[in-house]
Amino acid sequence: MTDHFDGSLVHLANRDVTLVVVSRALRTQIEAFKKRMGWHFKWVSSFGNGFNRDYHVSFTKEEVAKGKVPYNYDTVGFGTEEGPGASVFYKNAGGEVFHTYSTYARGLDILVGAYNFLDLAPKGRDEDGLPFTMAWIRHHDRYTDGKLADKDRPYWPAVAASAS
Amino acid sequence: MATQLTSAGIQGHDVVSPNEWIASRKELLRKEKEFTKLRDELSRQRRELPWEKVEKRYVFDGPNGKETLADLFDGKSQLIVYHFMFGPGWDEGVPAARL
Repeated sequence: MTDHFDGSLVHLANRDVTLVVVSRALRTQIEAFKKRMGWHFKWVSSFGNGFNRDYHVSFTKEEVAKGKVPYNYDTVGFGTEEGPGASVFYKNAGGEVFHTYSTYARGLDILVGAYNFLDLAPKGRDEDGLPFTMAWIRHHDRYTDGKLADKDRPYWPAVAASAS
Repeated sequence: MATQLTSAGIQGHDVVSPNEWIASRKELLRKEKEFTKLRDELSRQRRELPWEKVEKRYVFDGPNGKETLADLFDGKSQLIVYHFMFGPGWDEGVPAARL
């Protein structure tokens, strides 16, 4: 998904939109991973500021263990303490900031650039036989080395896997 | 990796004459246009959602040091935040979620 971000930045900027990526990981973790991926978009850490929690993409260990996390305007089971989402804000001339929209889960399909191409191809997304829809996705530098965990939990970090 | 690829929708697929093909394509085009208009309408309704004021002062840590949510707008009036799954202590961000 974020592989498609860099090419969009200049176009968005010319439509009065700034795109920023946020994670709860520390800035040093983010910088190292971003360098490995060769990404340029702005990526900041929300560690300790409650932002991810307030916008329902970070969950407590207890919520994960109980299988009840607040996600996608529902209470659902979730495998890790971090979830994907997109949140949109507007700032007026007076500097006041408003939350206008957030979307999660398949609401993010539209941001998956590869999906938009695959939907035009004969095999489509070709995910019917997979344990979950996005199970085929790897980091762009990991498709060739066959680095997969077990088929039900491919490519999850050890910390995330043990928490689930 | 090959185990992840199937022949879904490929085996035994209909092959037809150009005239039949264009007729089928035009029928799908009718549905595509219907969907496009529905999507435009959905986007319009998304923009019409009410807003909520952000009262908290969030401070982020990034390449420019400490920045507030208001700072992240970087001179624009609209900000899109993508929440990337990457927690403290993880080796790397996660590209896909089991939902």
